[in-house]
Amino acid sequence: MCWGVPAKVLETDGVMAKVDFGGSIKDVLVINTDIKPGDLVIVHAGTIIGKIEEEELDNTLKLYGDLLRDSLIEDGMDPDEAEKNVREWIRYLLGENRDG
Amino acid sequence: MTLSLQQLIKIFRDNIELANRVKNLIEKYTEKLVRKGLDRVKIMNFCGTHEWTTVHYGIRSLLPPEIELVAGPGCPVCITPSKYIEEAIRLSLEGVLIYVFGDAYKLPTVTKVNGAASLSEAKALGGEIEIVYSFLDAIKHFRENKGRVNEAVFLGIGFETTAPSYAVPIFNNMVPEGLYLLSVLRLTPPAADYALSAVIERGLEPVNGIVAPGHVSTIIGAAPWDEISRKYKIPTVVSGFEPTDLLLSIAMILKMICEEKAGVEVEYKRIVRYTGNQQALEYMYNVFYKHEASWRGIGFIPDSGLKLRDEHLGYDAYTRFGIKEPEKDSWVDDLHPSCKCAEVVLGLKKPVDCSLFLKACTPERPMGPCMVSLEGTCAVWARFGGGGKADEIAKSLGLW
Ligand code: SF4
Repeated sequence: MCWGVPAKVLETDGVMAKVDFGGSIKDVLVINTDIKPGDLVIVHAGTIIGKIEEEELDNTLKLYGDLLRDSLIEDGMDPDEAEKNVREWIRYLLGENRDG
Repeated sequence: MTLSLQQLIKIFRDNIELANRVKNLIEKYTEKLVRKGLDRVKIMNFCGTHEWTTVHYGIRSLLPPEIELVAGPGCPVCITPSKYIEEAIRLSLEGVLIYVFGDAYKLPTVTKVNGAASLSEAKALGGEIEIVYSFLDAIKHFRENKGRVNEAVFLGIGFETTAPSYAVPIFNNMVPEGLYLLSVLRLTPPAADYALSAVIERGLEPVNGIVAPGHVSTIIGAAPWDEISRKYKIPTVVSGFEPTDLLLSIAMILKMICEEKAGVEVEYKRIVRYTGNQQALEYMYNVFYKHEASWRGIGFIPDSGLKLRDEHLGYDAYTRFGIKEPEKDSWVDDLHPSCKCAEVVLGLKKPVDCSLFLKACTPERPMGPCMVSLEGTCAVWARFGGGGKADEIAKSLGLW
C-alpha cells in the first residue's frame, strides 16, 4: 500500500499540482512548497511525498562503487586499480543510462 | 543533465549486469560471515512493497542459502482490525457511502454484519461503496455526487506514507461537508520494535539486519530507524524498491554485520533524507496525534496509531457516527482460528506454515487479511510463488 510511482511535475498551484506518469496526466496534492515544474517526484495515494534528487542518485551509485572497491581490494587488487575499475563502471552506468 | 523516468528505471530495474555484480558482493560478504561463524543471517523487511519486489523478482532465489529474508509488519491493510471493517459495512448498508482503497475492498471480517463479511460482499447486498485511489479522488467524487449522496466516510487505512494524503486536505479545508475520515492510520517504527522484541521473546533465531521501508522513511526520515537499530544492536538500511535497490541494501547490511556496525544507512538516497520530510510531518502532527492503537490479530501497541485532533473533529467519522474503537480490556484476536496472519505479519511464520495457504485461502477467496492486499505477504507468495518452492527448485537445479 505504500507503493510510490515516479512522475514529472508539469505545473503547480498552491497545494495542487499536475503531474505526468509517463503519459497519463493527473492532479495530485503537494506537501512541499519547493516543488516546481520539471521536478521528478514520487507520488503515493495522489500526493507528492518527495522529490527525486539527481545528485543523490549519483550518491547511490557511489555507495555501490564503495562496496565494489572494498571487495576488489580485499580480493587482492591494487587500490588504484580498484578505484579505476569502479570509476569505469560508474561511468558506464551513467553513460549508458543518462544524457549529457 | 536531465534524468527521465525511463532512465531511472533502466538503472535500477533493467540492469542485469549491475544486479549480478551486487549479487557477487552479497556472496562475498556471506562467505566472510560464515568464516566468522555466522552461518544464518536473518534480514527483516517492514514494507509490503519490499516483499513484493523480493518475491516478484525472485530475490530470495538469488541469495546464498545462509541469508533469509523475512517479511515483518509492512502491510497496513493486513493489520487493520476487523472491527473497523465491520463498522464500515454497517454504515454502507445504512446508506452512508464508504470510500475504500481497492486493496481493502475484500478484507474479510471475523463476524458478518447483516450477512456481509467484507465491503465487497456488502456492495453485493446493496451497500454504498466506492473504490478510490486516494482521499483526493474521494473528495472529487463526493463533490460531483453531492445531492445524490449526503454523507460519506473514507476508510483511512495507511502508514506514515499515506497520512499526509489525509492531513493536507484536512488542514487546508479542502474536505467538503458531509465527508468524514475514519482514521485507521498506523505507525511503522513502533510495530517494528514490537516485532523484533517478539522474535526475541519467543526464542526464535534473532533478526540480524533490517531493510527499512523507503516510502515510509521519505516522510519520517532515517532517524527513527537509527534508534531501533541501536536498541537491537543490528544494522538497518533504508531501501528503494527496484530489485537492484534491494540487492544493494542487502549487500550494505551484510557489510555492516561484517564490520559489527549497528545504526542506519540510506540506500534510497535519491528521495529519503535523514530527518524526513519536515513539511509532511508538520501537516501530520497538526492534524493527528499518536495513540495506543490496535493491530489485527496482535492487539495494542503504544503510540502506534493516529487520531484526529480536537480542532478537526468536524471531519471525524468516529464522532459523527458514534463509532467506538476497540478497547484494550475487551480485545480479542480478530482472525479466523486457523489463520496465521498475526505470526506472518510479525515475521514469526511464513505463509506456507499456514494450513489454509492456497487451499481454503486464496487471493480470490481470502480467509485472512494477509491474502487480500497486493502487498500482503500471503497474497504476494500466492501470486508469485513465495520462496519456499523457488528455493527448493533452485537447490535441486544446483543453482546454489
Ligand atoms: S494463508 Fe490465509 S488464512 Fe493463512 S495466514 Fe495467510 S491470510 Fe491467514
